[in-house]
This record gives sequence, C-alpha cells and structure tokens, in this order.
Amino acid sequence: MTVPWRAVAIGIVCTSALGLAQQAPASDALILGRVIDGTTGRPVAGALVSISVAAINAGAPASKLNALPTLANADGRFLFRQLPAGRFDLSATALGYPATNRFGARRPGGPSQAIDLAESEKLNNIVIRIWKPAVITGTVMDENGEPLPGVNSVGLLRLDALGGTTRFTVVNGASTDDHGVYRFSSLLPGRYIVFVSSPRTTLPVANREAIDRAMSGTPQERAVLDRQYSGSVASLGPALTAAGFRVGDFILSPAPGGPALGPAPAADGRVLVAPSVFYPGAAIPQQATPIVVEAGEEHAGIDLRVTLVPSVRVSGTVIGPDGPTPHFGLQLMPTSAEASGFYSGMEVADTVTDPTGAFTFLGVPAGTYVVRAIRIPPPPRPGPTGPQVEATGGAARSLLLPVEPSPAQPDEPTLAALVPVAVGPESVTGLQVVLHQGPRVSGRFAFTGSRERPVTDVLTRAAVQVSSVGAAFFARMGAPRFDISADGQFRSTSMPPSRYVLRVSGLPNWTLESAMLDGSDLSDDPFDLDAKDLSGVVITMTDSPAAISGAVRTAAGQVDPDADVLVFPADRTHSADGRGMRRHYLLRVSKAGAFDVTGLPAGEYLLVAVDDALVGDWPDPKFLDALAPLATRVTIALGQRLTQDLITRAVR
Amino acid sequence: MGSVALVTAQAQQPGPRDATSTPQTGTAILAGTLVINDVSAQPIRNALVTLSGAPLTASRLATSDTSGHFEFDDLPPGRFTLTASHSGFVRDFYGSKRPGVSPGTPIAVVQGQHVNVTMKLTRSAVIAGTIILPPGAPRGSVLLQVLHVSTINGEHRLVPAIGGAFGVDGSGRYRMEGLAPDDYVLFAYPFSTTEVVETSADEIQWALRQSNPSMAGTVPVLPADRGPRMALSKVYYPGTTDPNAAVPIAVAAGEERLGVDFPLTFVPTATVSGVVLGPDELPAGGSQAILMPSGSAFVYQPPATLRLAADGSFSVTGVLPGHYVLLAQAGGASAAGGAPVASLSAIQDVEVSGRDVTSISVHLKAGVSVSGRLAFESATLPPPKDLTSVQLSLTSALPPGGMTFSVLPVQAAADGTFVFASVPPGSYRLFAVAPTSAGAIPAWTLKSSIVGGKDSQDDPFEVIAGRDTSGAVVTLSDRHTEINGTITDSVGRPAPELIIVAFATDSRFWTYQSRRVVQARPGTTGHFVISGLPPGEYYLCALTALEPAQLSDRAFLEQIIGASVRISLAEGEQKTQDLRIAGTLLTSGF
Repeated sequence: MTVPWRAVAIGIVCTSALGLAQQAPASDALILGRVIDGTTGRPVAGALVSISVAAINAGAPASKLNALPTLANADGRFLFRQLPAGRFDLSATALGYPATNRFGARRPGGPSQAIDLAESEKLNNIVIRIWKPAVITGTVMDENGEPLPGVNSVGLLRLDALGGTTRFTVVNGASTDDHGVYRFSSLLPGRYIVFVSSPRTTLPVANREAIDRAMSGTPQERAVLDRQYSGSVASLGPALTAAGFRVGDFILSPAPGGPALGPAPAADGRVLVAPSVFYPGAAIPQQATPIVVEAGEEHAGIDLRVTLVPSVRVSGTVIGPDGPTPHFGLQLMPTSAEASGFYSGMEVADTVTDPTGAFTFLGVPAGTYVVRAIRIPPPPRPGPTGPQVEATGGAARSLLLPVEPSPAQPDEPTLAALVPVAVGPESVTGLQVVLHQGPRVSGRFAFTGSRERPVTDVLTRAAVQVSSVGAAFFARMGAPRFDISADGQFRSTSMPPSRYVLRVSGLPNWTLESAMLDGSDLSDDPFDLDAKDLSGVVITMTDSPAAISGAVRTAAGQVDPDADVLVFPADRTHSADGRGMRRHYLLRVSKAGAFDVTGLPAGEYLLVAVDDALVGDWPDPKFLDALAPLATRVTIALGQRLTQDLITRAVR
Repeated sequence: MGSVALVTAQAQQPGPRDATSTPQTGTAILAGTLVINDVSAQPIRNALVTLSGAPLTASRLATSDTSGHFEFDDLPPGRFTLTASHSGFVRDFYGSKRPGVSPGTPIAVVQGQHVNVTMKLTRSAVIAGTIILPPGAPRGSVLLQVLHVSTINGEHRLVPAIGGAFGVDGSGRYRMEGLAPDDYVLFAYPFSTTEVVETSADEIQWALRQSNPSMAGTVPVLPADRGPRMALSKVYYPGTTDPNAAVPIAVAAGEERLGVDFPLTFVPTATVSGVVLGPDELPAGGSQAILMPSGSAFVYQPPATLRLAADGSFSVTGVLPGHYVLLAQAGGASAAGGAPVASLSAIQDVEVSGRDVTSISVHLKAGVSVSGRLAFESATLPPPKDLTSVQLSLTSALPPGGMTFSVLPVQAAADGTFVFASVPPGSYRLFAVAPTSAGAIPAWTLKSSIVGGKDSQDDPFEVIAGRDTSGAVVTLSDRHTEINGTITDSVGRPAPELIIVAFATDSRFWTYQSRRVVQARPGTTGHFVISGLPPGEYYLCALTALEPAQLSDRAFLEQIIGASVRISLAEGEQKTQDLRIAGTLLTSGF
C-alpha cells in the first residue's frame, strides 16, 4: 500500500457548505449505491463497502457508527440503512482491487468526498469507483544472466515533481523468489524506478566483545549500551547479533535476510560487493529510466543485472563533545541520495565506532558519498507489561496491560555530523567526523481573538510538531518533542539538523496563525536548523482564521461535484516545497460543489476549479503555470472570511 | 522410523574434556565441500555457510566457491555447528538426521587442527497456489502457515513446520519455497476478524422503493434486521475447518507442487458475552480478559481481547466457530515501578458454533503466595555474596497445548528468602538461576527445589486457591554431575552420527519435559557430554534417529531399555562412560 504523498506534504481538505446536521434521533436514512470499476465502468460484484463517520474537522473525535461493512451484490449494489443524519465516508475494496478507494475519487489515489446525509434522507445515486492497481515485475540476474534468488533488497522509488525538482521516495521493498523474480503489486499510477541495493554492516570485533560483556553485566551497564545503540541509526540493531564474515578485526554482515549479492571477502582480503543498480543499469537514480504505470497495467520484464566489484575501506574517527566517541552509529550514503525524500534502503554501508572511537566501513565501491553520523536519544519507553498468558508448545502470547508512562528521560542532546567523502580505487583513511549538538527550538504562545485563552492543562497538551521538508540527509529522522509550560513557553528536544516547517494542533477552537521569528513565518517558510538553537519564536493562535469558501458550477451553470479547487499563491516564487507551505491546497468539492479552506496566511491567491480527473502533477510548477491564466485572483487579509464562487475550467 | 544401536560399556578411561573457556581465535581450520544430496553429488557454489559454537560470540559466515569449497580459519578449539543455506536447497545442519531438522553433529576441533568435512544439501520443494477468496475479502487479511505432524507427549499434533506466518498477495496467491521433503498441512486464517453483512436483493428492491416512491411494483417485505454477521473462516487444505480432516501434501526433494488452491469463505460469527465475577460473587470491574483459540499454543491464531465494563460485563463480537479458552484476571495494574500482580484470575473453556454465546459467568479466584528460602551446598566455592542476584521462577506444569497465566520471576531478598506474592491456582515447578557470565559454565546450578516434601522439578506442586504455600527450600550447588565419553562403532571408529539418550531407570520420571530424560549429540570425534542430570540410576542408549516427542513416549523408552547401558550417578559425580556399538544396528520397529 502506498501513501499518496499529498497526504504528507500538503493538506487535502474535503469540505461542504452544508455543515453538520444535528444528530437527530431518527435513524431511517439510507445510502444505496453501486461499486464500479473506474476504468471499465462495469459493476464489481461482491465488493466490500465500508462506512464511517467523517471527521468534521481535524482532531475532532469522530463519533462511532454502528454499521458493519457490507458486501455488494452481483450487480455491485450495496445498501446502508438505519443511518442517522451526519457526514460519512464510504470506501470500497475487492479482490484484485486491494487499494482502499474512497467515494468521490475520480482517479486512483485521487481525493475523496464526504457524504452529507440529512435526517431520513434516502440517497440512491452513490457510485464508488475502484481501480485495479498496477504491477511491476522482473528478474534480478548476476553478470552472467543467471537469475539471483533470495535477493531481499529490491527497492521501488516513486518520482514526484515537487516544487520544480524531482523527488525520489522509497515506497516499497521486495525479495526475489526461487526463480530470481520480484513483484511489486498494488501500485498507484505514477512514475517508478526499480533498484537493487545491498547494504552491509561492519562491526568491530571489539564491539561484539563489549556488547557481550555488557549483556552479562549489571542492569546499569546494559542500560548504557542499550541507549547508545538504540539511539544510533536503527538499522544497526539487527546487525549487532547477526552472523558475519570475519574480515581481520571486523565482522562484515550482509543486509538482514540474505547475502545473495555478497559481500564476500575475496582471496586478496578485499571485499566483493554489488553496487546499487537502478533500472535498467544506472548507478544513480537520476540516470535511471522511470517506468510510467497506469491503473491495472502489468509491466513485466523489468530486469536488473548486478555485478560484483572489488571495494575499498573508508575509515576514520568520530569526535564528540568529550573527544573520540565509542559505539556511535554511522551510515555511508551515496551523494545522489540527497534528492531522495527518504533514505532507508539507499545506504551503502553501516558501521559503528569501536571502543576507541575509530570506525571502518568495509566493502565500499568507488563513488561519492556522505558519512552520516547521528545519535538521537531514544524516546521514553513504556515500563514493564504485565501478567502474560503462557502457553506450552512454544507460541506464548502476551496479554498486554496498560502501563504507567515511565518517568522522564534525561534531556540528552542529539549528536550529528555529515562528512562528504569521494572514494576511488584506494582506501580512504583518517576521516574526521566531528559531532555537533542538535539544535533546539523555543519560544512562546500568543493568542489573538475574543475567546478565553486555553486553560493550562489544555495548553500543555497542545502538540507542536516540526516536519522535515525537502531533501536533506537528516530528513525524517526522529520526532522531536516539545514541552509546553503552563505560561505558554515551549522548548523542543535537541533535533537533527535539517529543514523543517512548524505546525500546531490539538487546541480546540484555535487555529495557527503564524510562528514568527525575525520577520519570517516558520509555519509557512521552511527554516534550516543547523548547529544553532532558534529561540524567541512566537506562535500566534487565532480563533477567527482567514478562510475562503464558495461553490463550483460548470460552464453550463450546473453544480459540479466532480471538480477540485486548487489554491496557490499568486506570487509564484512561493512553491509547495519551499516558501508558502501553508498556501497550497487541493480541495475536493463536496457533492454539492462546495469548497471551504481555513487557516490561510494573508496574501494574494489564485483559485481555479478543474475536473479532478484532469488534475495531474499537483503542485508541479509546470501544471500551475498552465492553470494560472485560468485562475481567479483573490486577496485575503488576516482573519478575513471570503466567499468566491468558481466555474470549472478546461485544462490540458 | 528410527533404529536403535545396541551398545556395550567400554572400560572406563579418561576422555578428553571440552575447554571451559577459550579465546575467540586460534589456529585451527575447518574447511569443507558442499555437494548436492543426490547421485550427481555436484558441488554447490555461492551457498552461505554459518559456523557457530560456544567459543564464538558471533557466528561466522563463509560462502562456497565454484567447487563447493568453503573454509573458516583462525578458529579456537571447541565444538562447532555448521549450517548451510542456498536458494533451492533445504537449509541444513551438518550431520542432521533429516534434511533441515536440527540437531546436527557438532564438529570438534583442537588447537592447530585442520578439519575437512563434506556436507550434502537436499534440494528443496515448493508448494504454490492460490487461496481462493471471496471478492469482498478484506484486503491484506489472510495469513498462511505451513504445518506438519509432530508427536507431543504421545499425541499427534499439527505444529508449524516453518516459523512464522506468510502473507498472500492481493489475489490470494502464495509460494512457499525452501521446504524439506515432508508431509505438509496448509492452514490459512484471517489476520484479524472483520465482520461483514451481505446486501440482499430484497433489501435493494426495498431501498429503491424507499428512495423512489413512484416506482411501480410491490414493495418487498424487509427483514427486520440485516443478514447474519460473517467473517472469513480458518481453513485447512483442502477446505476444512477441522484440523483432523486436513489433507497433507507430500513433497519430494526438488519437487515444485503448483496449483495447490483452496478456498477461504465467509462463515457466520457469534457474539460472546457474560460477566466476570470476583471471589465475593460481585461483578469484578477493572479486570481484563482475553479469548484464545484452543490450539493457539501450537499454531498461532489471533486472540480476542475482551473489553470489560465497570460492572464486569463483557461482550465480544466477531468470534469465529471453534473452541476457545477464556483467561481473565484482575488487579494487574502495577504500582509505580513495581512488578504487575495478577491477584485474581480465572480460566475457562468456551465453545462457539456460529450462534451467540451469552451469560458466561467467569469466577475469579484470588492468587496466593508462594514463599521459601535459598540454600547453598558448596564443595569448593563460598556461597554468593549477593543473594539478590538469584532469580526464581515458577513455571506452569501444563499438559502440552495448555494455557495459563505466567508468573513473573522474582529476585531473592538479601537474606535468601523469596516470595511470589500472588500466584494463580495451578500446578507449578519452581526454579532458580544464579547469574553467570556469557559462555562460562555456571558456578551454581539448581540441585533441588523442595515444596511440600517433594522436589518440584520432578513432581509439580499444586497451588490451591485460598491457601498460601510456604517453606519452599531451593538448593543451589556448586557441583554438577556429568557423563562424558566417546562412542565408537564395532571396529573402534568414532560414531558421531548417533544420538545418545540418557533416561532415568524409574519410569515415573518419563514425563513431558522431564529433566531426567535428555539427549546429546556426540562431536565428530565421537565424544559426548551430558551434564546436570540429578543423581540417580540411568539408562544410556544410542539411536540413529530420534523425534523430540519420543523422549516423553513411554512405550518408546520401554522398548530401548534392552539396547541400553545402565549407569549410576552420585551427587556431583563426573563419570566417563565410553560406548561401543556391538554388531549391527537393530531396527526398533517404530
């Protein structure tokens, strides 16, 4: 199952002008509908249709609906009856249609619509479209063209045009079967690159001995080691107990699960490794050939050939605040991976410093890399869980009980470093990796509006979040926590250096207006955190946020339930990936053609309504360029509520 | 199935002792060749070979070259286990009795020695097919397990042949690779129970009329409620919910069995409801309960967690037909930092067959305390200074497949006393472990744990509701028994392929998981070690094959007495007993 990136990067808001009908005692409303194949238009017999109460606004608890999923009949017809008035989401799946397709989607993975149901209303025209997923399959072969079974590191990158750059996101992983064949099924339409990588872990023998000593030592010794390792790059964990090839003073372990691609030490003491290959035979994703897939297509014969090449070592020392730093996790990333939104699966090698703070990566093929070193203090862990069910015969299961939150952990800083390294035919030695403390973000809350400001215990439970934005080597590592005091001061834990944007949720009736520092809005313009703390951030919450609402009609004047409304800044130097994070919206109109967006920063915007089926690479600047001449320009002031009706425009 | 070697006692002579502590590296070399286990005996290249053993803290890997050769150098002396795997072959242990079934034969290596072995790998089988799902099967919902028959405590049971459950793809297709030749039972089950209802034609007609009153025709009479609730069933190949009616699939080495298709269908589900009552017969709020499918102990099946209301009532929907065990407990909330305590508990059986089961009364019983003290019998060592490092555990003496609550281990107090505060009623054994550094032989081992005058290791004791158990005495000793020796064939060559079984002469000890019935594999030199048996009289027997379940099979043990050597072990005695196979192997007739 792939997650549409839109769900991550840009808000999708499905709205309605009807608002929520009061919960009425009557529950004799019904929804009668049909499930069809979105490509062929034919009914899908026996599909499974689910109904749930739609969230009225983000964070509001959805009330529970006592309606089981229902199986459609042979004509694809389904019925939900004895429903109360309210707002509902419908979705359907069927054998061969594994993705969850929600009502209102006009293309695979497209935005959905909620259904507003009045008291005793009988809706009989609901059509849910579902699409067969695409498949990419092929064979992984060695240099002689022999199939390679058991390769467990076949990866799939999806390409997204975002803010004018192409982003590579690892969306899936697969293994080859006994015929060397891999298969990615359940794919949404899009552009994909298949690759094979074989990350390997180098563990100094001395660390293994230190781990053994600690494991048979006192609980305190175990706890220290445990924190050192669980705070290091998580992928190191399995390797610590994995079997490995003995290479001098090191243990070289293949990626967990299978060493079909090596590494195997060669007779001369060097290590043979399979460098990453991107379909059809590129060394970096930027040179690969993307596979363009449409719903229901099967792309077979996407074969990859891997070769074993000799490799060299990259070694050096990690220097922390207290000098050389032992047991510190490091990863060797290809420089080309910086364009990837998510790195897991792209690393070439992992290692950990030995008890003297020295490190060695074995099995490095020639290329340009970055040594990434990071230790994020692990978040507080739940305490012991309690009485367990015991079963003889081997498969004991736990009866998990609620646990008390464990006491706060000491506030250790995140330590991180990035060091570029170019690797040729010779080993690289003496690399200095100097760690820096991860910065913190702090400031205070301000409230503007007529309501009483939130009481202390509501305020301290608000969630300040930072999301990493764009491509960076520390993107999406760790989840910084923010402590909020009763007087509205907040302070984050020490964070990996990266590019972030700030968000606030969990304060009912209050919407984020801005998060200002030195004249820039950290909730709208992503900010780069390097080694320096950011303090004095003022988060302003408002109870009367700016909003735009309206209705969409076709050129013929009919209500258009098939439209999307696209909202983007008139100043096109803003992009969804850079400045203007909160200024881009793709809104699916309601069944009544209505749209509504809340919480826009003040400024000039372009609004355009187009058929959802025609919405392409939103928010690709090229697509926005095509839309701009068709758009309606509006200016919205702080706290202003604006109404703007639109006519659906044809776009090519 | 197996054959028994008639053995004779050899004159006792000091055998080599395994080193107790060894360095990580040495000068020995273990090399070998991997070949296909068929008449071709072709070399296997690119296979992964894993060497493990007590002298190594981490297993070492090697790959085989084009001639099937592999090598581990710089080895310390000791006993090592060799495992080899390659796609298309059964992952196997050197010297295994059946392809893919541990234990193998340990390979003994002395300092500076160059050992060469040949290891055969058997081509693996594939079973592939489609689980035929109804169109509305909730996605990602089906798991598949590969089972085979094992005899446990004299009973035939289906147990997983390969660890874990496997997903099927969106169309229900599956492919099981790497199977050893065997008879397999396939078991498909829903990962979680999603209840669904059907939309009937009558309902559609009725709804069309409701939404379009001008429609012609008669209004169908609408059923008062929707159709029955249903969920995907559990199914054994070829399509039965009864494990006894499952049809095993026999696969030979290298066989690819395709088209093994079987259906998973929707079956009616039930609601199970009732109330949990405390010892005072009042509703027990704040308790927790879980409904486990019987047989979960052997083959994992997802349990249902029951949400209990404040008045102790519970109701769980979507329960598939089958036999269940309901486990309930209360008072499990832990004090800050303290260990959770199940002060009240109950276990009872529940049968479900598609109809709702209501009015179940679960009567919680109070846990009681089990207390006692540590004692030390020392020959050479002073008793440990820090007694709080000794950990005591209570293990349920359940029949195979039984389910109960586990009791969390406790540490001894500084004065050597210990208390399990709240133990659910049941049958238990009491154990103690003193801490040991990794790889070292424990200095202190459990000699006896006397509860009510009997050693609970042999005779489990009963914990009865309302009655505390006190005065348990757990004795740790710095002496442990050992039987070592060398097994040779009739002309004096080592016979490492045999399995040695030591079992008490007193048949009262021939029970499930008895500590007086043990097996050992000799190393490549034929040397074997059996340590930690309680003092007493034993039979020693050598077998060409052994199913683990046969160790608790009384008829089997009876039958091998005739081919055994009797040996008596005194307290802490270290005895050397060499064995020689006399003449030919006898077939035991199993």
